[in-house]
Amino acid sequence: MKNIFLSLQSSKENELLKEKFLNDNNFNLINAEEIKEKKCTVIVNGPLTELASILLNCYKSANNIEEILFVGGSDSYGDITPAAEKNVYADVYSAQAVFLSGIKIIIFGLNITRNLNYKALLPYVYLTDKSVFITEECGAYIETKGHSTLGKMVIDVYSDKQFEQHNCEIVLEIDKNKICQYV
Amino acid sequence: MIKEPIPVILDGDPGHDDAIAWVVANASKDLRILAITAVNGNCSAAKAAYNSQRIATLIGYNGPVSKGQDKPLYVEPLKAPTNVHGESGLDGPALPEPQKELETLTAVELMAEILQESKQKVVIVATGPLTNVAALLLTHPEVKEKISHISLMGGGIKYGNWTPAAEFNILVDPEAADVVYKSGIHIYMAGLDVTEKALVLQQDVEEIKKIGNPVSEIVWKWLDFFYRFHKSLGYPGAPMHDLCAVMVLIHPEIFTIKDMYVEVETTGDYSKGTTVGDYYHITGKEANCSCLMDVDRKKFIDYMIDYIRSYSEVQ
Repeated sequence: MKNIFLSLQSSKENELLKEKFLNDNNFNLINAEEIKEKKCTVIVNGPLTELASILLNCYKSANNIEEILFVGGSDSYGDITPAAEKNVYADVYSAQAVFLSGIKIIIFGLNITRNLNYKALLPYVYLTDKSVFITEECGAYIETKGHSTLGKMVIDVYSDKQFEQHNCEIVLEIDKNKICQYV
Repeated sequence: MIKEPIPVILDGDPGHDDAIAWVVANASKDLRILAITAVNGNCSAAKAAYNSQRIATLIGYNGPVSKGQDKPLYVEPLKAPTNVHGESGLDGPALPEPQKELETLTAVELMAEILQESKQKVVIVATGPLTNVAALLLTHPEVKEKISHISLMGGGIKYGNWTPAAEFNILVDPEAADVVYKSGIHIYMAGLDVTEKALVLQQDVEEIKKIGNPVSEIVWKWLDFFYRFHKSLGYPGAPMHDLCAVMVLIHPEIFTIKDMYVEVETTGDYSKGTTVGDYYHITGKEANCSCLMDVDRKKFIDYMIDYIRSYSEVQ
């Protein structure tokens, strides 16, 4: 059974995600306090404020988080500004703290979630059946200083120049046929 | 009706792909080259000027060639990418020596003079860092009305190459790029989005080898040299970055073009030199750029080869 910590903005579709986990015996939802003691996967669909705060508050928590599944960011363009996606832009310093943490992050970015009505469920599907997704390892960090690029997820997935560390995996494609059975 | 050729000023940092862009520009009857100006970028401005003179000799261009800005407007020059273009900025085959002196006017002075005197609007084709063009616009704002648009190779709407977010030409002189993008002059932007799709494959090089005129003999060797670096990065061919900025003037129909507002990031920890495109039209700002996003590679290469072949006729 996999321990899951959900850091979600309240919304109808995030409620649906929570329900999926509650109804699935493969998963066990835990609270923020439990992260100090238990290995777990963290799912974020919203700003990264809460997760950054957990990481900064107790390094034991950071050591227990095996993977972060983040619905946010983008392979390129933004939605709240031309460069930034709204979950990142909402709290750029927290976002950068998470991306600098060294914990592996799976990015479900705008490149796949734009105009997708079941985007909140993607982390659940990912943990249930990875074969639905085509991902690529990459380096990604958050710009916290630019005039035009504040909150931009700077990512090396298409670039010749690579970051030294590949701290992330970004979803580039979803198998639309396979995903039907889960959403 | 006879189509009047478009008057152009070629400003670049040759550079193998600049050189090939100029070979094509000179061969096209749709373009009339008023001047060639060199700028610091792939190599020093002095080397770029010398290379420009040698290219001029090779292609039989007798107009003015001038040396431009030695370094970016504010920042220190980046290290020249000798891994891409070699020590000279244009390594590979031996080139004919210059047959004509450089202009005594600087690139900025020369461009200003030509624009002031021109009765027609002129296109500036900028295939290096934008230092010369920005310096021109800053010192001679009155010539803006003589520039119909700027066709440039630089940036990338989606990604970079010299850093994950920034492309080389823009990264070398982000402030200059900022001046140009905010100038109010419309830009045709050949960014990495399109230029990395404009690939010359090995079979295309073989095709050029077969032509056997003095220009094609140099071009295939340039391509051979230029491809080495890109091969090491895993490219299936050599990207003709700068040629896109010329080709779009002659054959716009082979490109997929998207209009949007683009601005240049001049600061930031990771994104200095990034061209930020308002791809989804979030800001409501009017488009200042026509961004080349894709190209019909086959047609692009066929045209390129035809222009190289046309040097057989004039010889």
